[in-house]
Amino acid sequence: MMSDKLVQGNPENGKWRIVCYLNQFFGQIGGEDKADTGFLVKEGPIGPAMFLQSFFAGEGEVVATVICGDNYMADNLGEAVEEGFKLIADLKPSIFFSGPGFNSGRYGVACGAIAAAVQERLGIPAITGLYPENPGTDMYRKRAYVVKTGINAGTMRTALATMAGIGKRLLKNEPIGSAEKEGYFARGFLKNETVEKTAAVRGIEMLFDKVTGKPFKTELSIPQFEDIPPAPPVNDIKKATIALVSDGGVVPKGNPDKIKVSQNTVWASYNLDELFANPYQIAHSGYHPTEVRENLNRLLPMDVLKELEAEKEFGRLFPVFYSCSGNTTTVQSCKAIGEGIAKKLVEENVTAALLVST
Amino acid sequence: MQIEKQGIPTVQVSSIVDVAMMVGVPRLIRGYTITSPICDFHLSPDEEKAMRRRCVKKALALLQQEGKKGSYETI
Repeated sequence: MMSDKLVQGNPENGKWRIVCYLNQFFGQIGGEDKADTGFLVKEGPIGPAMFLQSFFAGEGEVVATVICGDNYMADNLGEAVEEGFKLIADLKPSIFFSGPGFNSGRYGVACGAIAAAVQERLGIPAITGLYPENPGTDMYRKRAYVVKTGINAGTMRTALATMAGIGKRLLKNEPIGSAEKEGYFARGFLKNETVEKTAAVRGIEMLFDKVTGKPFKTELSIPQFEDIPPAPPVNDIKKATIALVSDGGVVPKGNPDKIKVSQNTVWASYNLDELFANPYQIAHSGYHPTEVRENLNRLLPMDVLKELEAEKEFGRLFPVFYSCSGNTTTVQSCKAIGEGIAKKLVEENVTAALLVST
Repeated sequence: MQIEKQGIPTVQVSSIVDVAMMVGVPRLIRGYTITSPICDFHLSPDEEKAMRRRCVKKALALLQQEGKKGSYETI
């Protein structure tokens, strides 16, 4: 940590203790040339934190602004968040704000990560503000309040007003309305509400609007998936190395890589011959494994793959199998698992992959 | 899809084709059932193996075709 004027003491004035987090730019340390700057704690509000302070007149005080360079955070997020968390915890905040980070990738992820850590571990409200396409939005919207902002700092004032408004009500234990109404990203909670019209009436009205070409709004939004164009097909199957990948949770007996039976976050690779020759188990609690236990070929068709390989229907079966467990796994975890396996397949010069899903 | 993103074509066997299509899987075969995707376990061992072979051969054929989202084949 770089030395700076450290916050001392605890103002005994009955006001909420607000702590803010900013990057080197908004924290007025410097631009990209200062992005490697480590953590600094400055007494009182700096930059956007001063705006934030104005929304809390008489009720709260920004006791400190924690500042860190974007690269310092991004280069080793886990350790940096830990370092920042300790500094923030020492400041004994009643509430924490980070950013807003708008559409800045590194800053947005930092804002989300640190807000999530503070909210989960200190049990206090933690609020940030990000643009919908900021990668930090989907990563952290379920773990802290992420207010929807515009693409850049032109929307600073409105973003901070929304963040402060939600923050104040959380501090006073006042109800927070729906994500859409309040302007934050859905946190994945369903909350019962009393409405005037029944679901049947609303559904029929929506249908009428749809068939008569009027605008209508769905009550159930479908998760958005990245639109990935298909990879080109296999050019010469006789030379292709094909790998087997499955989310059915097949692991050697004892589950050495601790693949979780639900909400899994890890993947592992196993030699296929060894897997078939030794006792195995199913690290997946989302399907009945009786059929696969009776005959593993029903999930991993090794017998016919070996035959077809011998008959030169394709080049070579890659000897290693990639395993994970897909059962209530978050899209975020699925993506990370997929990225990990994909990277390995590229390294191993695999031509194509057969994915079997339970 | 992350594997496709790296330029490696994939073919997926999944019984829940709606989910696979929602995600945009470009080469998809409808699995027999969740607990036994590649083949019908009620069949005799020989017939079951023949079905596995049919499934894998179809997968090999699909891998040689351009990916097409929103559709699937059956075993």
